[in-house]
Parts: sequence; C-alpha cells; structure tokens
Amino acid sequence: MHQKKSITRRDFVKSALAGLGGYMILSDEKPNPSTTELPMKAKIVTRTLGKTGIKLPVVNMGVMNSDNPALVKAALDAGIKLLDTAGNYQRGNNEKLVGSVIKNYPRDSYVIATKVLDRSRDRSTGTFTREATTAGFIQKFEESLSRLGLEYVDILYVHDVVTRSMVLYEPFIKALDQLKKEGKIRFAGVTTHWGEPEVIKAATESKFYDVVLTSYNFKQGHINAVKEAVAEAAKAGIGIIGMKTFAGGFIDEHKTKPVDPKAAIRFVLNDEHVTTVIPGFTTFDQMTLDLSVMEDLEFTENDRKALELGYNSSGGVYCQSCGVCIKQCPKHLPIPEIMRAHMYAYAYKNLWEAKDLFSSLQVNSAMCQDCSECMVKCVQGFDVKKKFSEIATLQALPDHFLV
Amino acid sequence: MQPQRLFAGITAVLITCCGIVIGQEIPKYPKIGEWQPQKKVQVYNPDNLYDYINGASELYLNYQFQQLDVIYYKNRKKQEIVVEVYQHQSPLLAFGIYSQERSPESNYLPFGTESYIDGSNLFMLVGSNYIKIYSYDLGDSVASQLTRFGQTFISFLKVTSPLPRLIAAFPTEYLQPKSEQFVARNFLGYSFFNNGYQAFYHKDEITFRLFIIETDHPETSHQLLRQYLQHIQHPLQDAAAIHYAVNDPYHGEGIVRICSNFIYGGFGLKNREILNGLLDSVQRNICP
Repeated sequence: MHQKKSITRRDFVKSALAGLGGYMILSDEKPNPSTTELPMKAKIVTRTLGKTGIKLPVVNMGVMNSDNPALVKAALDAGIKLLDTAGNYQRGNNEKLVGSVIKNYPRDSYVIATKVLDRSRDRSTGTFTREATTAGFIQKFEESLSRLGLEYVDILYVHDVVTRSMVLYEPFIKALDQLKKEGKIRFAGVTTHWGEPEVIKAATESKFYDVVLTSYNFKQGHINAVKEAVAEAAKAGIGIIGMKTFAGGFIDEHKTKPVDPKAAIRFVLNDEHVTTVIPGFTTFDQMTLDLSVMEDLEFTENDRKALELGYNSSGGVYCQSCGVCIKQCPKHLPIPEIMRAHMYAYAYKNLWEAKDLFSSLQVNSAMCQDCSECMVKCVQGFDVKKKFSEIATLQALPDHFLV
Repeated sequence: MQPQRLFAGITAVLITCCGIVIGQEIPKYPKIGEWQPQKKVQVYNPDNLYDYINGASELYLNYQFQQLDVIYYKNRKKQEIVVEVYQHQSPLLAFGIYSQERSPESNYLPFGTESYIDGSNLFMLVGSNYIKIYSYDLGDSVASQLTRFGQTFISFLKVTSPLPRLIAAFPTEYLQPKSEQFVARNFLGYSFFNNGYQAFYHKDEITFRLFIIETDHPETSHQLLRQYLQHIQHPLQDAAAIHYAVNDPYHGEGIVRICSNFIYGGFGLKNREILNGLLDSVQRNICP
C-alpha cells in the first residue's frame, strides 16, 4: 500500500511536474461537456398512495445507506419523488443529507417520509414502555424536521412496530394527531419488519393511519398472510409501501446467489395494492437498473425462476411470525416467539436473549405431551416440535452459565 | 442429580446444541465508580444486528461490523447507563462508520481516537471500536459521568490508534469541521471505485467536496482512472496526463488527478483557481 515502495520514475516525474503547476502541461484542462450526457429521465409509472392521494412512481429511494448527495440529486432528477429517511439513520446525518439536496428543489416536487424510533419497549411482550411518551416522540420529530430543513414532512412513521399493541399505542397516536393538526406532518404511518400481518391489520383497524411501510419480498414464508393484510388495508384506503424488497440481497443462506433486483421489485409490484418500493441503491448504476423496472412491470415466469420461487431451504432460521401456527396448535402456544428464542440460541449463539425470551413465555415442552403428533404445519417448514424441545432445555441452565 | 452430572449435562447442551463454550461468571466489563455492569450483556453479530438497530444495520455491515456488546450499568438510585461497543474489522472501517454518524456541532473531548458528547450521550472511536454511551436523567453530573465512563472504557479496551493518516491530507481551508469520511463501498456512487475518502468544503454558500482514492499500486490507479473516464465518456488523453477537467454526469464539473497510487480530485466548485489550489495541497500531502 505504501506509495514509496511502488512509485516509478515516470510517476515521480509526473508528480514533480504537477507539483510545479505541471498539471497545466500534462493535463486535459478543457472540460468536454459534449462527451458526457446528463442522465436520461426514467420512464415513470405511477400509482396512488391510498387515501393520501399522492401519486408516486412505483420505484422510489430509501436513502438509508447513502452518503452521497449527488446520488439523491440524481434520483430526483431521474423522476423519483419519494425520499425515505429516518431520524436514527446515521444518527440524523441521513436527514441532513436529504435536507442539503432538497433545499434546491420546489417543495411540491418531492415527498419526504421520515420515522421516529422509540427504543422504550419491552421486547418480550411487544409493547412500548411508559418511557415512550407523546412529548418524547414530538421532540424527536422536531429534531428531524430541523435536520431536514423543512416546515413539514409528508409522511411520519412510528418506526419498527411489531405488534397490534404498539400500533395502537395511544401516546404516539396522540403525538401524530397533534402534529397533523399543527401542519407539521401530512400523513401518519407505521413501519413493520416483523409480524407484518398483525401490524397491518391493526393499522387498518385503527382507522387512524394513512400509510404502512412494510417488509414485502419473495422470501417471506408468510407472504400470503402479508398479501391478505395488505389487500384489506388497501381496501380501507391505507397506502402501502414495500421495503426489504431484495430480502438481504441473496437467494441462498451462503450468499452465493445474488438476487435479481428487477425480478424482486416486479414480484412486489405485481401486487397492485403496493404503491411503491424504496430500494436503497448506493450507486448510479443500481439506481438506473432499479428504475428501468418501470419499462416493463410484468412479473414473468423468468422472474419466478430467477427468484427460485418454490425453493424451500427447510425454512432457514428466521421465523416470519405469520402466526398461522398458533391457530393450528391445540394449546395455542406462542410458537413464533418460541421459534425466535430458538433462533437466538442456535443461530445467533445469544443464550441470554434466548433464555430471557423463552422464560417470559411461561411455557414448557411438557405442554406438547398431549399430542402424539404435532398438528402444526409451519409454512416455512420448521419442525416446530423439535425446535421447541431443543430450546426448552435452556430453562434448566442457571444464569451464571450463560455469557 | 449429582453436581458433576448436572455440569456435564449442561456442558453437553451448550456445546452440542448451541455451539457455545461455557463462559465466565465474572462480568466482562468493569465496574465504574458506583455503576455496576449488569450480568446480562447482549451480544449481536452480523446475522442479528438487524434485531437491535433494524434497517440501520445495513450500513454497519458495509463497514465490516463484527460484534456488538450492549452493557447495561445501574447505580444505587437505579439510574441506567447503556454502553454499546460496536467492533469492526479494522480501525479504518470503524472510523468509516463513525464518520458517517459523527456530529460536527458537538463538544469534542481529548481522549480516544476521537470522542464527543452530544446531549446526554458520549460517542467514541477507540481503535476498531465505535462506542456509544447513553445516559438518562443524570442532571448536572452528566458530562463528568460520561467522561469517566469513556476514559474507563479506553483503559479497559487497551487499544489505541490514530485517525486514518489520509484524513490529514485534506487541506483545512474552507473545510467543514468533522466532515472527513471514509466510505467503504461504492465510493462516489461508482462500484468500481470501491472505497475512498471524502471531505466537504464550504465557500460563499457553495458546498463542494474533495476526495482521495488510494489503491495498492500506481498501475491500479491508472486502470481505475481509465475505467472512470470511460464510464463518464470522457475522451482518453495521453497516458501521461495526470490532470483531467471532467464533466461527470452526476457530480458535474470537477477535476480529477492522479499521482502514484492515488486518484484525487474535487467536484462542486466552479472556481478552478481555488479548487486547483486545494488539490495542490492534497498532492503535497499524499505525493510529497
């Protein structure tokens, strides 16, 4: 890596010349604008975001991973309208980045969605704790607004909601309602990465939320439950935005088969109830590729093959929390949580977390003894009884054996 | 059950089922004054960081995140301080993610590779570790408590490293404080550039950036530069050219130069005299 080691005589001469203003000699000083063309505007196909009435391109931008203002600008110039950010991305710097770009655009030319994440939550019960307050939520949002340099945002989400109880959490609904009345947000939403069907159904039931940002991809074992909830929500006027479209970027667990991005986007947009997706591209080429989906939105047999739909990897390790199993189980055991505890122990090697969660469920493997054969047919192919039995052994371990 | 058999059984469960070796009973992290670390240290790895910080985890993975330890401290008043230790593959990568998140307006402190207090929280870069210390309702003692925590963790980790050397190559005139970054992937939005350093500058209401890309060999840099020029459809000049005035379709007009195994340049400032002056400074620092 050290330049001194590999520098050549020629390099040395060039460097010395440049150091003396030699760039004027060995340079191509005149820019040649005729050789570089500004990026073409993408073909834009729009859908309407539920009752908000906002017309959006079916592909937009999740800014989350970008450190590049030129990329955000290129996205807007290419016809993208929705920029999705959050107060917790890069500790607020992501919102500052978005703010630095949009200040040069008319306010009605873009749509901003941001999120407030409150970590005051009990993970074992899936509820916010009393530290999650209306005032705290509003304060976090005001900071976001300031970083974005805006007087209002178009969509504000309660970020990372996993249960019905969290969707209906009164202090946050109160905060969102107040912000709407003050004109600081136009629409309210929730985001969900886990337990999507329950969250989406609760958002519909609430009659309060306007938008749901949900994980939606070809690898979800409970995709039918997601689709069903999305359809109900759309019917009720809720705008649906899809995320995690590429499902981590690889088809297989060993990360040898990259996902075909266009096929993955078309899979989601094949559901007419989804208004748009927000891929987190980080290069101009990725952006161009993602936008080119709008040339042809039809989800084809080739796409199906590219995504290896029908492929069953014995369920992997991630329980998608679809909840189908709970109805199948005669004891109505909290199987998604049990599977999650199993994942903590066996996939993540996090015994503390596993035992903590499992103990909070107050179940034991003896509860399965009444059934000679397990009635649960997991949609992901999990051997539920076996996993339950394995994780139940943890309960016997004293805490001090766990790191 | 006899204790030995119980122990053997537990060992078998831990090793055969979970692939985990029995740990120590002693807490890993130190007691800090009246603050006692709770036994339960949450540990996250690249597979489950998502569970803790959701979608923000993707960026951490780009910077070769290895492990996160979350340590909960409590005092006798039941107040809590939470310490998050993000371990990355190298000090440079830890700086990369830290530089994405750091806040220029904050109160910077003279310890660690770099550290600052933002509100009731302390953020530190210490070698390959990016440490975040969150406090709640500590009142007037917040700064002193956080400082004590920070210094204790620096001593505890027993690692140190300076800021990446190329950070010092950016000239300070017009530099926006603490805007220097190391970007681990898709630098400048081009996948072929892979990684690089950038810093943002401000002059007369105009924000512009300088950048430096370091490769392993001068020839690699020349190849990369040729690839870039082809990509933006800029005519290839004499192979000996070391300075290009380009019109990048996304970054606009700018200057790109090469010396030894470095490609460096600037975008966003039309005043060529100033831009070239700044780039001359960069060159003096990287190719003296």
